[in-house]
Amino acid sequence: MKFVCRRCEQFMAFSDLEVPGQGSLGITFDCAGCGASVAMVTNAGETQMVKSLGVTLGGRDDAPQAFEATRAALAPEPLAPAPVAAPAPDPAAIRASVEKSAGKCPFANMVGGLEQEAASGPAEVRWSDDATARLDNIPEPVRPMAKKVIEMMARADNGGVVDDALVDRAAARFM
Amino acid sequence: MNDLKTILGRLEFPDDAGVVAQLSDQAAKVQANLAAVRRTILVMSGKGGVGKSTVTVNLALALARRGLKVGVLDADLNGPCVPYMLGLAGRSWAPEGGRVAPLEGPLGIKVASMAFFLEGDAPVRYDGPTELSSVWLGMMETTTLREFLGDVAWGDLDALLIDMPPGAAADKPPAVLRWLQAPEAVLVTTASRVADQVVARSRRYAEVLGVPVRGTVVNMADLFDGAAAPPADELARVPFCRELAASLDAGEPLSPDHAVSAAFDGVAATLYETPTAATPKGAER
Repeated sequence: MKFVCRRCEQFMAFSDLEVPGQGSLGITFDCAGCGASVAMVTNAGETQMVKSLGVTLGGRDDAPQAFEATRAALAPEPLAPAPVAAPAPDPAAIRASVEKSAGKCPFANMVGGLEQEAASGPAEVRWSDDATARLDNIPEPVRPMAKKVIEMMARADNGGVVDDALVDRAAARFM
Repeated sequence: MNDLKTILGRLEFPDDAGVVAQLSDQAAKVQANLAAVRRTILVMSGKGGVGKSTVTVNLALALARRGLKVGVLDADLNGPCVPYMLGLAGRSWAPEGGRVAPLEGPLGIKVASMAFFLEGDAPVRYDGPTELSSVWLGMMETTTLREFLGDVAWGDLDALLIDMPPGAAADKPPAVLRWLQAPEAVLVTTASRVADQVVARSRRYAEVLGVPVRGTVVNMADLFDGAAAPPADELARVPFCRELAASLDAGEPLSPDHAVSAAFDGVAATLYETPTAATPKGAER
């Protein structure tokens, strides 16, 4: 998997590998052209798929050991006894499992309580010409998300107006 | 801003995460490891319970009786039984370094099996999110099969027999075949019409995969006598034999003079005395 920096029209380079949570990998790519940095966070299933290739992200200097992928993947602990009668699948548990596996949306974390604050503000949002022009500077893939956040801020505490100053505040808060 | 197709058209893929290099190294390791293996024969059948492992083991013994150096890869990862049949039950592996020596059965037959990693009656269970296992389990098993081919020190072999798991169009044949040079196949069926129609799919699958089928062993033939027409490429009809079953349970080969041993000697002779275009050069013996 590669990321392309649309602004610089070049591949972003692998930069770092982290383990931000159990069953999760954080793989950071940087753009050598503009310095943009993006981290891809995998869920447990995706992590397992990477693991199942038997490779080390970022390369390796040591020689592989015999059966290293198989031995690392075999479950070490003994199996717990199965219940006599398996309970019927619980839709809520399935949903919780999927949400846990899918990881947390970084957008939701960033926005925090802003959505509720915006709900109490004006429904309409007006963009100034300067602010509209600045929208074009935001990379296309994240532009709709950025626009949504800025409009929430405008509704929450700027009377529904998006102007230069508000865009500055949004940039300072989220970039 | 250019569209992605235009951008990608002028970019060269950088392997900065080192993944492609490592996958290439894995392939090179398998290739080097199998360089001295002259023939690889998949023993396969779409049907379970027809006696693939029985045929594999007895064919290996027959080839070894001809003085050939033989290896057996038990590719049935979830139901490994070749070690049991060859008197290696309960044996285990503790691989160290880049390669592990196969365990040695009767007549010097080299054996590798998932059973060597398992304690007691423990099932094969990979550590991971089981609710998502359908996504990654196949990849993990493919990697394990690659390690069996690349990490077991097979050395100089006249024939490596691969005991395939059941399944006519499953993912395992391609997972194994991608690593092999000029593989061949022996099919196993019973004379039952039920088995026959499933094995027919396996035959077609082998054709689709470009693997020449060297013939079909009809196992437990007398139990279903006359039910299904004999296959045109029949290598042997092996009757159900209590002594054979007892020998497999005991992990001791049948006597070479036994009629069943003789039947498998016939299969070995056909495989080694009637070379086809698929037989690798220098592999006849």
